[in-house]
Amino acid sequence: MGATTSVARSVKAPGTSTSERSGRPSAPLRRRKRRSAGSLAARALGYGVLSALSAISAVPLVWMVLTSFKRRDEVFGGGLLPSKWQGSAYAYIWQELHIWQYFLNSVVVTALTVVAVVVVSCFGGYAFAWLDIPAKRSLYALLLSALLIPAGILLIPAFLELRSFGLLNTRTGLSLVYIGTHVSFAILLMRTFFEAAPGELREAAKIDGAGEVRIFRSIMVPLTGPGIATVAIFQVLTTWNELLFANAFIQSQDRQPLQPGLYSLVGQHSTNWPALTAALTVAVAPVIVFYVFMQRQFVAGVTAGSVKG
Amino acid sequence: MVSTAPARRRPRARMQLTGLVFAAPALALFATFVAYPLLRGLYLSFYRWAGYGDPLFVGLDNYRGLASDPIFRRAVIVTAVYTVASTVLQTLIPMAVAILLAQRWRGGVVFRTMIFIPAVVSLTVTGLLWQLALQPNGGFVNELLDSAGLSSWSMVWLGDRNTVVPVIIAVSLWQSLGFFMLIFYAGLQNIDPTLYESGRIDGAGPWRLIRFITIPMLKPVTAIVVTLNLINGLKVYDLIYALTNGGPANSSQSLGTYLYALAFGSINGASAAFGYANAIGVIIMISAAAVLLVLSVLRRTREA
Repeated sequence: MGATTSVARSVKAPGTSTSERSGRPSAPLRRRKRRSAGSLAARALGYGVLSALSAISAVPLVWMVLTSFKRRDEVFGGGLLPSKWQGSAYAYIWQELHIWQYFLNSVVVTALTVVAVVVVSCFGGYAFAWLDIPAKRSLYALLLSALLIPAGILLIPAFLELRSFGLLNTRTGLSLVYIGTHVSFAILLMRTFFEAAPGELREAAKIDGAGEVRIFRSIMVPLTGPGIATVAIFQVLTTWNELLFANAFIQSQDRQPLQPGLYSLVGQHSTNWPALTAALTVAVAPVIVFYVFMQRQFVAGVTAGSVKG
Repeated sequence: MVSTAPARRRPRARMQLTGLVFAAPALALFATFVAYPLLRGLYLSFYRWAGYGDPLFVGLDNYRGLASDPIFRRAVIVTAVYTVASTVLQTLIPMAVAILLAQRWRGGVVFRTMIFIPAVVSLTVTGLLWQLALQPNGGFVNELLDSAGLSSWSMVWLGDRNTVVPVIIAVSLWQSLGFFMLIFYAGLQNIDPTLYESGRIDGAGPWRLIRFITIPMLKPVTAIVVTLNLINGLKVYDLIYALTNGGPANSSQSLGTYLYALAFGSINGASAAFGYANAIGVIIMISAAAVLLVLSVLRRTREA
C-alpha cells in the first residue's frame, strides 16, 4: 500500500533527466556545465508546452471570475477586463437568488455524508482487515461489487425507496443514498490503511486485556489518520460535486444543494451572465481554496484508490 | 455459526459476532442502497410503470422498444463515440504531459498545480461554464478566435449537430487532464531510477528510455486510467446534462442523460417511464460489466 499517498510526496523527477526533442541525453540540473543549443531549444519548447497547458487550464476560470465583476451590458462585446470592477452580481445572487441556501444545503449534505462514511468505513475497514467474520471473503467481494455498479441503474429504484421511506425531497434522504453507495469504496481504502497498521500493537494490547472496542478506538483508529483524511477528502469532493442523485431526489428549491441549484439558475437567468458566473465562482472557490491549502492530502484523496501498486 | 473446532466454538463465535457487529452498518447500507435497488431496477425493467399504481408486466417489451427508438440509437452512438474518444485522449495526453512534467522544470510545482485545478471543478460547473464560454455571443472562445483573426472559425459550437459531440469530448479533456496526469505522475515516481541509469549506460537515448522503460513500467497505471475512463464514459451524465442537456434535438443525448430525461425530465410528455428508463440502466450496467470482463481477460492473457 502507501502508493496512494506517494502521489503527493515530492516533486522529485524520476531518472529520465533527458530533454525532449534534442535526441541526446541532457545533463541533470546539478551538473549543468555544458548545454548544447539543441537541448536549450528543447527546454524552451518544454516550457512553452507547459505554460500553454497551464493557460488553457486557467483561462476559462479566470474569464468566469472576470465576467462576474462586469456590468450586465458589458458582457457582450466588451473587452476581457471589466471597465469598472463591481461586486453587485455577488450581492444579487446572495440576496435575491439566495445562493447561500444552496451553499448551506451542500454543506449540510456533505458534512452528514462525510462523517457517516468515515465512521462506517472505519468500523467496516477494521473488521475486514483484522476481525473474524463469517464468510468474510464473500461478504467483502459482495460489498466491493458496488464499485462496478453505475449510478444510473440505482437512480429510479433509490428514488422509489426514498419515497416509501418518506425521505424523498429531504437532505437526509440524499445523504443516506450517498452514504450507502460510497461506503464500499471507503471500506476498500480504510481496509488497506488498517492492514498497514502494525499488528503487534494489537496483540500486545490484547495480552494486556484490552477489548476489541478499546483496541479499535484507542490504538488502531489513531494509527490510520492519513487514511481517514484520504477518505474524508475524497468524500467531500464527490459529495459536493454530485449531480445525478441530487437533481432527481430533491425538488424544493430551498433544499437543493449547489450543483442542481446552479443548473436551475442558469436555466432561469440565462442572460444575466455576471450573476451566473458569480454563482459558479462561489461554488468553485471553496474547493479551489481547499485544494491549494491542502494540496498534499487533497491530491492523495482525489486520486485515492486509483494508484495501487 | 459453523466452527471446525468444537472446543473453541464459543470464543470463535463470539469473535465472529464482534466482527459482524463492526461490519454490520456497512453491510446494512450496502443492502439497502445498492443491492436491493439493483435487484429492483432489474425487475422494473420488465414492467411498464409511471411510478404510481400497479406496474404492468411487459416482458422484454421495454428492450424491444429501445431497439427501435431513434433517440436511444443516437444515445448509443453518442455514448460509444464519447467513451472511445475520451478514453484514448484522456489516456495518451495525460501520459505525455506527466512524462514531460516529470523532467526537471523550474516552477514544475506551479505547472502541476495549475494543470490540476480543473479537476476539482465539478462536472456540472464545468458544463455550465463552458456552455457560457462557447456561446456565439459573449462567450470567450469565439471572441478569442475573432481577436486572433480567425473569425471564420467561430461558430455555434454547441448548437450544431456535427460539432456538439467533439466539443463535449474536448471539454471533458479540459476537466480531466490534470486528474489523469496526476495518476500517471504518481506512477512515474514509483519507477526505479536505476532502470534509467542502466538504460543510459547501454546507450539508450531519451526516446528509447521512454519507449522501453517508462511506458512499459506505467502499464499497471495505464490499465487503471483506461478502466476509469471507460466506465466514466459509459455512464456519462453530468457534463452533457450541464452543457447541452442532450441537445440540439437529442443529438448529444447519452445513455445517462436519456435515462434521466425519461424518468424525471420532459421526454415522452409528463408521464415518467420508469420501467423503460430502467431498461437503459440495465444496458449501461451490462456494457460496463462487459468492458471490465474484456479488460480482465486481456490482462490475464497478456500475463499468461
